[in-house]
Amino acid sequence: MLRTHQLRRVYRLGGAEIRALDGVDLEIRDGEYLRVIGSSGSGKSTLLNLLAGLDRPTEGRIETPAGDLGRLSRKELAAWRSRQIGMVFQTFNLIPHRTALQNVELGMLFAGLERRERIRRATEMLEQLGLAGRLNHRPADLSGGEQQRVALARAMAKGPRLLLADEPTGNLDRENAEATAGFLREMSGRGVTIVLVTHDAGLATDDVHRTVRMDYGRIVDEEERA
Amino acid sequence: MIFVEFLRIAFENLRRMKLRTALTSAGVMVGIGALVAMLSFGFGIQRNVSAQFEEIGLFRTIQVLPGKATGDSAATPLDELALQRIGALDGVALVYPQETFDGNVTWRDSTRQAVVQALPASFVEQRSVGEMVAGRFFASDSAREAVVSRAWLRELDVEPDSILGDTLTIRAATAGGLIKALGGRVLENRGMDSEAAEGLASLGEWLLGGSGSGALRLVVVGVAEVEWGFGFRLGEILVPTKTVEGIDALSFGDPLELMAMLDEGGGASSGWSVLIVTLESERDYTRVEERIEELGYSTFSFLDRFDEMRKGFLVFDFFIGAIGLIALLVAALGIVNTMVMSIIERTREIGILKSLGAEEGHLRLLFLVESGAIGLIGSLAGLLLGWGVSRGISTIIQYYMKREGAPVIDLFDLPVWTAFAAIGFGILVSVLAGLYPSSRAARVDPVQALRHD
Ligand SMILES: Nc1ncnc2c1ncn2[C@@H]1O[C@H](COP(=O)(O)OP(=O)(O)OP(=O)(O)O)[C@@H](O)[C@H]1O
Ligand SMILES: [Mg+2]
Repeated sequence: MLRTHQLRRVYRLGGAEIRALDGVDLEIRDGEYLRVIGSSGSGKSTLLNLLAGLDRPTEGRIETPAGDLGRLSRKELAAWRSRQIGMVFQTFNLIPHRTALQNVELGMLFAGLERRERIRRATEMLEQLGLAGRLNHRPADLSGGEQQRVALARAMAKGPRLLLADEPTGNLDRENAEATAGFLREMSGRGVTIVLVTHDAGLATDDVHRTVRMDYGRIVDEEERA
Repeated sequence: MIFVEFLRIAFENLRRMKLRTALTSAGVMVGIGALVAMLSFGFGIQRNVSAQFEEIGLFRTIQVLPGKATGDSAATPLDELALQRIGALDGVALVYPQETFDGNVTWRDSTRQAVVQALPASFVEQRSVGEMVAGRFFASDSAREAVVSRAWLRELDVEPDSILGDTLTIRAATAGGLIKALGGRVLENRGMDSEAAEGLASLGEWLLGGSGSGALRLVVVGVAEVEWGFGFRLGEILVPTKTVEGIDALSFGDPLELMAMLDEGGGASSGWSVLIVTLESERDYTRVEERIEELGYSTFSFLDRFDEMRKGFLVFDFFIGAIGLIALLVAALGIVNTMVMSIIERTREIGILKSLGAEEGHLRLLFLVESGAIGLIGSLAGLLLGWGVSRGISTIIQYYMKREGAPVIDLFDLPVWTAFAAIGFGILVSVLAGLYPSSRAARVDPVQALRHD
């Protein structure tokens, strides 16, 4: 469903050039569960942001069903994010003054869903994630694990085809990390394409289809699992 | 649809930031409040005051003063000849001397003060005094008859018919204290030092006081609903001109008259001090005024006075308006500041919204709605403020008008559309103030915004 071709992302800081991505060729199949590992600063987050259309490549192509992301207008990129992609982050990125329900509901606003439908789906999704009793809690009143589950609900409630997860378990204890991995497995089972960036070597990820390792902005290793 | 959602989000945010919202909208409130007060004052003057002045005949009334003495000719007095000459002018409906004095009027066993007005008998032929409620007007200039006003009777609680045929005894009330006070001030205003002015005024008091006062016994022949004029009023008791010549009285209730007298350097002997001319139509105003001046008299025009007043009102109005605009400008800066702050605080939120698929247009709209909402809140409060202030001032002014016995005029008028226009204007200014902050919000780089703290 996705294919990058000689993808480069160069940051210029003063006179220096930082090659965050330095020629990445990667194909992600429909329904694939892909794990991306690599040391800090190797360009994992940069890759994810490019796939999400939050950032633009300096060079190269990102072929998607919506076209080459590098050539889409900002409006088209927004549509790509709003309908096709769910994102979760290490720091959850919930809106602090909105309740769990409001956060999840907001995730569907730009996908053009009607308010009643958004609330229905958000409630259902949060209940599925064991947060039935937390609908009206604000992030500050939730544990880290609960917050990440709200973020997962927000990402998945609109039914995207692609889930981009950047260190989703980085701030979680073992138990919550396993629960998050379990949720990803379940989503993968339902046919969602997943790109998971993680440091966590101990995380139970036997179920990923493939793991790629990055270093200095390149893919240096690839391990297929059948 | 998304606009409604944004409205909801905007008001949620404003409610969350109560103090900041209140302070920011307070600026808009003051600006819109001042503009609303200005507009309602402007409209009040334009609509009500003109209309009501018209109704009371302001635009059809000229006051005539004796002509000024010039090098080669003596002052032209306001005598019988003046009445005839002015009355003969084209377009003049009515001319009568403004001859009033404060009298002590005794009827049956009680004595009351009343303003006594001397009028020629022909007055009623030229124009009705108002409505004769009972009886008739006096028969001749020297008839020993009087017409009393309905208002005066009301104060006495007497039915019009029951007073007809009764006798009134009228004595001039001494105006000594008044002349001293007024005369002194007039002289002082004309550059005389205060001690000398006081001395002169005392002398006048002594002279007038010494001239004594006679008493008139008149038969009441009619009761009239007396009409209002502007800057003068027909007295409560109307008496024939010749009849009162026997009574030494001057009214100092009207400073204008007093000034006219002082200008002449004498009293009633040289004629009346003021004539009131009523025109058939406003259109003749300038023409008749010119003709009267050609005859050698001075005129005092209400229209000029009104124009001056209107200019004064306009200046005042522009002044309030300018304050309103300045306040709005400052309020707009406040909104820019608040919105920029809010956007800096909410950078991460903006990044989140972008990651969820918000377009730049959405973010721009979201923050414009938010600044517009500040404008809406401020404008509504400003509308109330402006309305309250204009009501308050109006009440005070009307209280004084009533106390002075003048017809009550509402100086303020706020048509519904201006209320809406004011709110619209407040929102517009706020939205304009939101343009820069909202475009800043739209340009936030989501990758930076979402970076871990
Ligand atoms: N806005 C930026 N300006 C300059 N350099 C940047 C910027 N964003 C990222 N970089 C650099 O690009 C490189 C890749 O960053 P990236 O965030 O993709 O790494 P990462 O693999 O996600 O690391 P981590 O595991 O620590 O999250 C790093 O060297 C980083 O310093
Ligand atoms: Mg990273």
